[in-house]
Amino acid sequence: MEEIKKIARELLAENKVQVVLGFEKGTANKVRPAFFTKAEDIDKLIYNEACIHNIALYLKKDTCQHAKGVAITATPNVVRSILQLSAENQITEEKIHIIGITHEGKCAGILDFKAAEEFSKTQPKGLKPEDKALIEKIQAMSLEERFDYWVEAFSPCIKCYACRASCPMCYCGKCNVETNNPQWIPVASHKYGNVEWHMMRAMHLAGRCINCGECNRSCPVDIPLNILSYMLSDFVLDEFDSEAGLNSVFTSALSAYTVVDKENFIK
Amino acid sequence: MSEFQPKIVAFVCNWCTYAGADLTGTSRIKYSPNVRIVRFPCTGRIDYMLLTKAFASGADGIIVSGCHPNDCHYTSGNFYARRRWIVFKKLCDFMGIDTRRIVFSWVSAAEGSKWADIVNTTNEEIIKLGPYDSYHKLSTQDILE
Repeated sequence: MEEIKKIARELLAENKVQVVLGFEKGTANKVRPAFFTKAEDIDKLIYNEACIHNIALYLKKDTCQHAKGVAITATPNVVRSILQLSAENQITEEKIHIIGITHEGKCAGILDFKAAEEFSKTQPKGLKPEDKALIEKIQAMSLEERFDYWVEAFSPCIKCYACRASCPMCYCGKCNVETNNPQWIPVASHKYGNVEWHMMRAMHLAGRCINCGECNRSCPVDIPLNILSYMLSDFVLDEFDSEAGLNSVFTSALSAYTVVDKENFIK
Repeated sequence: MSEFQPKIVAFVCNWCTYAGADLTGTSRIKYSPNVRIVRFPCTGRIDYMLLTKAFASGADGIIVSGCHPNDCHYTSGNFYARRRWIVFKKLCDFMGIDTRRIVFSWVSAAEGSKWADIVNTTNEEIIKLGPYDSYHKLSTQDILE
């Protein structure tokens, strides 16, 4: 904690970075992501077990885009997001100073991308047991039950797109849902539009999702939509041996191919 | 002839399957008229959203077809498409969308008879499965509710 502050303060004081991305105390014992631009403000920077938000998404926002240097307090999920953003040419190494924080909450110092790759490989990842159980439960259902399950699960969706807004990988300037000619995704939140939206979301994240679970956490109606991406990441790993968030230079599964890809359903 | 005549949409690539379907016609091979062919520049252009849109607009079955691997007019379009289909099929299965209704195939410009065969077997299969009411219901009824 003090170590994180010290690093952040130094970076700002030496003008290596113009903004530090981290957390500050919010209202009612909550924490909130914050941008620190002055070394004296760093006193307000905090890190504790409540700081679970994936703040890598702010790297694509104007404040960070316009700064010459950005430091970020990075938990394993944030580090993985940064690596994937770099793999998609969204951020450059020179600009980002990663202040690594292990899953136990210990400071791992400043990581360059090479160190971040090592860090990312050593940190635990994978599905929570309850998510795994839910995936298995759904896979055991019959086709009709699965369809009904998802239609029902998506039906409370109010199309607030918090899942999109909280996802570091959903950085497109103009999203397909805003396209209204042709209208890919219906605007109203009826069952049909909800199914299509979540299906599109899952497909767009297939092979790119780093499984931080932020989409599920930010969902105001608690749709288990993260397991769609979890299931696909698992599948992509098995099928194509490709995993997002481990390398800063990487072509994600659906942007690549091999001539020997195996399938058993094309006639 | 059964009473239920399914609507089948075929998304095909311009260079192989479309030419293949053309050959079926010029060879005077009869095949089911239930198929509506939509021509694309390449299988790599066939967006999975188009498939869901077809189901939503009343299709009971879908055929997606293009050049055989290594025969793509653009060298690699069908390889990208193949990966996308592998993942999309998995997602559909997981979400309970009936993948028996989506037929993927490779049909070259010389395979007129294979095209007729694919359309006919798909047609029979979809007749057996019946109309895709559960998805159609989503896109029509539930909107009005």
